Formats: sequence, C-alpha cells, structure tokens
Amino acid sequence: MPQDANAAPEEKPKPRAKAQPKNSSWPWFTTPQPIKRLFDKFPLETYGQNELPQRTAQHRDQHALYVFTTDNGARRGAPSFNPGCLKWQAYLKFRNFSFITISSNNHASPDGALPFLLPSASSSTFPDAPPSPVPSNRIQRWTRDTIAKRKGISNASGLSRQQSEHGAAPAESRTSKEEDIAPTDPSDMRYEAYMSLLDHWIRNAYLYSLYLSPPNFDSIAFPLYIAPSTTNTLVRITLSHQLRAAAETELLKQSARIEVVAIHQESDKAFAALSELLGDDEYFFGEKKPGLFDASVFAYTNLLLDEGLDWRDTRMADGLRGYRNLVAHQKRIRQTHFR
Amino acid sequence: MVLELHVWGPAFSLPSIDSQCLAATSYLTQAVPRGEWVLVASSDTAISPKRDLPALRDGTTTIGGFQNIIDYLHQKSNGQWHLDGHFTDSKDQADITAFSSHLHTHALPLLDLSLYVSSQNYTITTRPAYTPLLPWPTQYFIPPRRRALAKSRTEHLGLDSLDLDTVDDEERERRKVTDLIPDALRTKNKETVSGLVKQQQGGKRFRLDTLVDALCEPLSALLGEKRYLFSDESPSSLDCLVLGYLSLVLVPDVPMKWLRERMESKWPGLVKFVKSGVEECFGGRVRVEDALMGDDGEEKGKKLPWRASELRGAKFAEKMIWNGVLDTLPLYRNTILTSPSNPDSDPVHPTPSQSSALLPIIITATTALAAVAGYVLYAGFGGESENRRLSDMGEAGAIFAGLDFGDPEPETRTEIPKMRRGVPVGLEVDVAVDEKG
Repeated sequence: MPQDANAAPEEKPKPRAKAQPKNSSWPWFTTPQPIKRLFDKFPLETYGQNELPQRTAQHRDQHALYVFTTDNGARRGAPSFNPGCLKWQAYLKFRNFSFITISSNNHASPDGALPFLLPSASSSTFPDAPPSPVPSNRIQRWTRDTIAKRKGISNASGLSRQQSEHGAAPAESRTSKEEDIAPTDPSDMRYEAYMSLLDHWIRNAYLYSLYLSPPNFDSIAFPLYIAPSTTNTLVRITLSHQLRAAAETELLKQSARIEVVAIHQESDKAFAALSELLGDDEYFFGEKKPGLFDASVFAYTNLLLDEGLDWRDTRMADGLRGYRNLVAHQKRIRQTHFR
Repeated sequence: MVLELHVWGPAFSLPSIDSQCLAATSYLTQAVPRGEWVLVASSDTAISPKRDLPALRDGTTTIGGFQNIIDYLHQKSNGQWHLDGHFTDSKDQADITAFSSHLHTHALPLLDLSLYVSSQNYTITTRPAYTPLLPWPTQYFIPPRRRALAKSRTEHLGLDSLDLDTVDDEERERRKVTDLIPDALRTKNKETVSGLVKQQQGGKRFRLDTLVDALCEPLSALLGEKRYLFSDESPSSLDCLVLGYLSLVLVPDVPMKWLRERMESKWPGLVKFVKSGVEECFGGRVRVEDALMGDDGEEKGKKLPWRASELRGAKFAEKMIWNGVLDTLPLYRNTILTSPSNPDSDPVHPTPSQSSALLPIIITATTALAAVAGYVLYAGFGGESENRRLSDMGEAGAIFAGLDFGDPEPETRTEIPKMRRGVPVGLEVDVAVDEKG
C-alpha cells in the first residue's frame, strides 16, 4: 500500500467491517448491537431514597455535632479529644450556637472524616426533606449563612413588631446579641501565615507525639481511639497498626525520615511565634471575641494541657508550658466556653 | 576544612532542581564567605541522615535539611554566619518562622502540581531535566518516586487523576459516547489540571488561581516596596526560602504555564524580587556541565563554587539501588530517627564501604536477591503505578470500564502493542454478518 508507506504498521490496522464507528481507535472489535441494546435498558428501575432509620431521629430539634468523644463526654458537652473536632466544637461555641455533641467515628461521616454537623430539622429550607450534613470544611460557611439568615428573619420580624408594639421579648434581645458577633475573621496578612504553623509544624509534632511516641500511644491513643471500638484483641492490634502507619505515612510525605528532635524543635518555634503573635491580648489579632484562629490554637493547646489525659512523653506540652500567654489563652477559653 | 553543600543537581538553568536545595544554596552564598564552602551536585541522598538533600558535610559530620544547616552554621561560626542575626526584634523572628511554614504549606503543593503531577509538564520538562543529573539506571527510579511523593502531597486538593491529563479530553469524551455505559449510569469525567487550564474563562481555573493568590498575598504584603522581605539592607533565611520556592515557579519553561502566568500577571512585585534574587545569588544561568565537572579554577564571573562529585557512574548507581532496596524491605527500614545522627553512626543503613563489603554476599545469593528485587519492583520501588483507565484502552477496555469494578489493576504499557498485533481478524467479520442478519 503506497499511501501507507510512511505510517508505522501498528498504527494502521486494516479497517474491514462496515458496521464500525468511524473514529474508533480500536476498529477490530465492536459491541454487538443486541448486547448494546440490552445494556441500554439498565438500570431497570431506580428506587427512591431510603428513609432514615428510626433511631437517628432522636435529637432532631437541635443541631448535632458528631465528634470523637466518650459517651460520658458527649452528654456533658466536654471538649473532644481530637484536635480537628475540638476546633469546630469550640468555633461553634464561640459563635453562640447551641448544639449537642454525639460520640461517633469516621465511618459515620459522609466525607469519611469527623467532625460533621447535622443541622436541626427546623433549620432545613424544605420542611419535608431532612437537612443534609455539613462536613467540617463547610462549617464556617454554614455558620455565616445561618447567622445571616437568622439576622434577615429577626430584622423582618423586628420591623413588624415595631409597627405593632414596642415591647421587645427577651428572646429577641438574645438574637440581636448574636448579630453583634457576626463572623468577621480578620483578613490580616499574617492570618494565613500563622495558621499554617498549626496545620504544619504543630500538627506534625502532635501526630508524632500521639501516635508514634510509644508511651503516649499506649496511654492516650489506644484507650481513646481503639479500645471503645472493639474488644477483640486481634482487631485491636490491627487497628493500632493501621493508625500508626497512617500517621507515619503522613509525616513521611514531608521528609524522607522522621527526625524527632527536629520535629520538637519546630513545634517549639511555632509556639514561640504564636506566643509572640498573641502578645498581651486576650484573643488573637486583638479581637474582643475568640474566632476561628483561637479555636484552632485551643484545639491543640487544650489537648496538650488537659490534665485528664495521661501524657507520658511530655516534650511537646513542656515546650508549650514555656509560653505563659498561650497557657492563659487556653484557660480563658476553657473557663468561658467549656464549663 | 571546607564545607561541602550537597544538593540535587542543576536544572532549568537554576543550580538545583529542588526548592530546599536552592534555598540552602542561596543561604550559603549570602552567609558564608566564598572559599569556605563548595557546592556539590551529588544528587546522593544517602549521605544525609535525613535521606534527603540539601546536606552539609563538614569533615565527618553531615547535617541534613535547610533548617538544621542554618542552625549548624550559626553554632559553628559563633553567630557570624547567621543571616537572621540581623533581626533582633522577636516579632521579625516570629514572622520568619510563620512565613517559612506558610511557604511549605502553600508553595510546595503548587510546585508539586506544576512540575510533577501535571503529566505534560512532567514528561516534557521535569523528567528530562533529571536525566543528566543521575547515572544510569537511577533516572528510571528516582523521578517517578519523587512524582509519586508529589502526588501523595497534593491528594487533598481534590484534583484527582491528574496523571491522565495528557489524554486529550475530547478524545475521551468521544470514546465515552461509543462505549457501553448506559446513559443512566454514566459518570462525569474527573477533572484534570490541563482541563482546568483549558477552560480559560470558566470558573474552574479560578481554583488554581486561588491557590496561587493564597500563597502570594501575604508574601507580597510582607515584601511591600522593600528590597528584601524585612529590610532594605540585609536578607534573612526567609528570603532564601522564598527564592528557592518561587524561582522554581518562575524559571522553568513548562508547557502548562498557569502557575507562572498567574504570578506574572497578578504579583509583579514578587516576580521582580525573585528575578533579582536569582541574578544576585546564583549569578544568572547555571549550566549542567559546569556543575558536574566542577569549577576549582575560580573563574571570574562564576558565582557558585562548584566541585565535581566524587561519586559518579556505577558506584553511585549501586549505592542508590542498594539504599532503595533496603528502604522497601518491610521490617528492615527505619524511618524514625530519635537522635540527630550522621550516617557513620546510623546502624541500620550501611555506609558505602559496608555496602561494598556486603557485595560478595549478594553475589552468592543471586537468586534470593532476584526474588527481593522482583518484590521490590512490584511493591512500589518504582514508586508510581500507571493509574490508567480501562476506557483509555479503546473499545475493549471500554466494555470493562462500563462494568466499573472500581480501580483497574495497574497495567503495563508493553501489553498494548502485543494485543494489537494479535488482533483476531476473523472476529469482526462474524460480528458484521450478525448485525446484518
């Protein structure tokens, strides 16, 4: 074939059958039409969504935050023992939401990680449909939207009430108080940079201290994360191994070897920088009310300073105790919001 | 004793292909007087206790990692060779810490995406850049391993299956139409970097641009109109880190330029800062040959004191492979270092001399090693599985893709031509007859 002379032989399989789609790069095999027609009929029927099981409908009148916590802690609304959960738990408290905490684990979450928030049934836009869960990365937006919505409603109702009579109900004065704390997370240029200290250096050190430092794993991580989920020894061993391996993989993404001394030095430096940023203020960035940044710091400092937790390898906490203003910051939040 | 700074070799006309190495190089050019140190493009991670470069060798001690090197130089010179010593204000010190971590969390993923994850940039620019730096056959192992690491670091950004973006999107779309998936069960295509970049006006590129802005906004605010980040007079270690990361953003000539374009259009102040920094610290373009051959003759105009690496060729490859094999053996590898150690006191990894002493054992146990090597190659010594879709295999693959068994098993490329040659020609005739009848 002269016209194919400069084409590679593999790239020019001889097209033979007429019933092929023209552009197919694999022209030697087409799907038989009967089979194609048969499969086009699938799915034969699509069922509607299942209703939620009965037992989930317990606390539908309140927002529910699903976190890692003990059953007893959930009842008391105690701070979660997972920094990711505690951050959002604290944030919602700072924004004056009333909610309950429910002890859960990652398998329950729609995006595979705790925490997530299930808004109360009444807050749904469509009364019939149950509200969809809010994963942790949308909680901030959800609070903003919810406060804005509530503000809109209370403004409207406030107007109508002003027209009819002037007496303000106590409930109303409370909503107007909430308006004042509209979420204004500062757009300081340092905000992002200092936030990365928590997400990077402090998180690394925390991961190491909790999961990879053997005494702490046995005294804290094991009883909190593994013991409640099963009593089977074999499963416990497997879970422990998985948890430690996951932490190790996470740290090895940053460097080829996990250098323990360097990790603690870095967390020390990070605490020093945060302490410098806080200065003599009550809350970060000179705010009068705590915000997301305070919640993020508190999530780690509270766990490190918690006397209920049996830290055996205390290097990270010892580093933190050197910065008095950070310790005071943790105490202040703990006393104001987690009594 | 002259200090030796070991780095990944030069690429893209920069002295190193790695951001941390670039940062360390720029730190030493500014902090340590010339003649006190040399730069070695060894690309040999085994010399460092951290198994990563940059590493500073001072006689028998080896220090790994940018921050450790700074601290070591500070101690060794009693505070003389310490750039951050100019900034006594504790606020500035806190800023240096915070912004260093900011660079690590924001600039590293972008570099990973741009140089390693995006298939086009990786195959056209990054992988060829490694070739002259590494002796055969390590250039087949090391770049894919670094790419796999980059992928794992950027997973959380949710840009799935980025390695597929060389496949033309339209091509795939057309195949989807002809394949067997019923309408009701078809899923949307996953997003790829080139897909996002192609939709120029769409809201999708916005996501990449937001990442760039999140990186640059605080840096740009910190820089302001100053010459360096904290003052007009003297640079800090943060200046070196910024230079290390951002020069890799701005200098390499990659086919998918979204990162550079955004920087140039939105953050001209930072671009100017980086360009002048490259000129000042690295002295313009660096040629690979200069670096590998060494430059002991103190030529005029040359900014960097290159010295040729002692370890080249077969010996280097042997060492690299040996370390790679040890690292993949389950029970044998030791990833956690509890005390700062140099390789001589590292009990787990044999130093080069030990590995030569072990060579006879290898030779006697050839079969055992072959089994190990087979396992290693299978279990990810290459580090990267070709995560391709069945639907990329043409119609035959499309049928299986339609059944959607989840992720396909990694397939090797060599299978494709084999299958093509073995086309059962008679089959399609039968099919055609069937359809008519």
